[in-house]
Amino acid sequence: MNGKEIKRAVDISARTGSILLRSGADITRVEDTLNHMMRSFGVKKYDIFTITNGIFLSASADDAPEGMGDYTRICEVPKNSSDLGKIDLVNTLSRDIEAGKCDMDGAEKRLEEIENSKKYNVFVSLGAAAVASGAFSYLFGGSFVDALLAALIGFSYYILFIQLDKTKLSKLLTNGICGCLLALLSVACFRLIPGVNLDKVIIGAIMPLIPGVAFVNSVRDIAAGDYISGTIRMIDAIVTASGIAIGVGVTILVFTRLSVI
Amino acid sequence: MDLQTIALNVIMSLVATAGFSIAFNIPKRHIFFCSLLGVVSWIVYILLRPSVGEVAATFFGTCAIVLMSRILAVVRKCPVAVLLIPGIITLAPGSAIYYTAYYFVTNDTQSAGRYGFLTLKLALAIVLGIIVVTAIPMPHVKKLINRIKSEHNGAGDLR
Repeated sequence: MNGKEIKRAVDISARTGSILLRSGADITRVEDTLNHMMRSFGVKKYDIFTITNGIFLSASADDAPEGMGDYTRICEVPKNSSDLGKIDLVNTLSRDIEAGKCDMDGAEKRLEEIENSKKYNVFVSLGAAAVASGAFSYLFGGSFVDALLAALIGFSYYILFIQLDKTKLSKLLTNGICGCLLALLSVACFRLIPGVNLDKVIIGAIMPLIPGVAFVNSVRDIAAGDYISGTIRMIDAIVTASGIAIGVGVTILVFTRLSVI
Repeated sequence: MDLQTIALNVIMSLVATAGFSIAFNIPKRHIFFCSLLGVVSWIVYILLRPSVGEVAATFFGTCAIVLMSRILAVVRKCPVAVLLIPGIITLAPGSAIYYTAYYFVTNDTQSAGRYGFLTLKLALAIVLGIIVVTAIPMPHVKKLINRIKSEHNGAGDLR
């Protein structure tokens, strides 16, 4: 492989890795995928180092003398979200590359498609979050009225959450504001409709905010020995959960002091 | 627990996990299997909870879903995370977090401490469940599935 091809292989791998990290993949998956890709592209001498918010890749041409002709890329991945669909698409791509069904040109085209792949319609996502909230409220012991209210509240605050998630606001604040809003709406329902269990409505409605992806990935990273990445994600999960707790807590504190609940 | 309660629990956990799968943007072809795993983990949890307590029940629920998602990931050739994450949310200690915050702000320190500790224990049960089942080597499953699906290229990842 000459220097130009090496550069291209590293660039494609770096792009793949950053898509995976941005979508919330665990470190072992990212490193495995990049290893498969580099080997399938025919790069023999390379090194990969990945943490939750960055990828370091370096490779050298076969005929280059020791310490010469290296090509290195550093990719920063500032923000993670959870888009498990993209992880699945990249997984399929890496399988195709390994099976020899896809070369570098094909890979670049497929990556372009994956980056532009559509999420579900906003209303479908909102509806899904609402239905999940309602179902959780029931599972945790709420009545059907509680479940219905949790679904309505889940729908209304999730609109705000999707908007806030796009901005650069800190996770603590985003989740705090959403927690505050959902508690506010729940207290309103509690006052207006008799027989509503305030706790069951709130518990159902907070479930879409729970940092499941961050927590599960953190544990899997730590289990795989990637302690730095696992710690970063664990802090992320704790900050998110604290944000929810602070938002809900402060609202309830205010209303308790006002003797409304 | 009577049959009607169980049936309602199955439906509700199915709906809840399907909702999460869509919120996490999981492709349509995986959603049914994600929901199925969510149901299994929840049913394991509610059936065991009366006898062993909620922490141990969460542990076994987690074990069940991690094991099943590792096997299904090989069969369906997709990352484990896609199957695991929506289903495991049903076991997330959402109610414990809420009660901790609630008793904390209403100055009931004793209850706040109890629920805070419960949150920690539930989180640790999930951690242990994931670590224990992830540590089980599964070369036989991979080989078996490889043999069954020998016309395809390679089996899935067992992580």
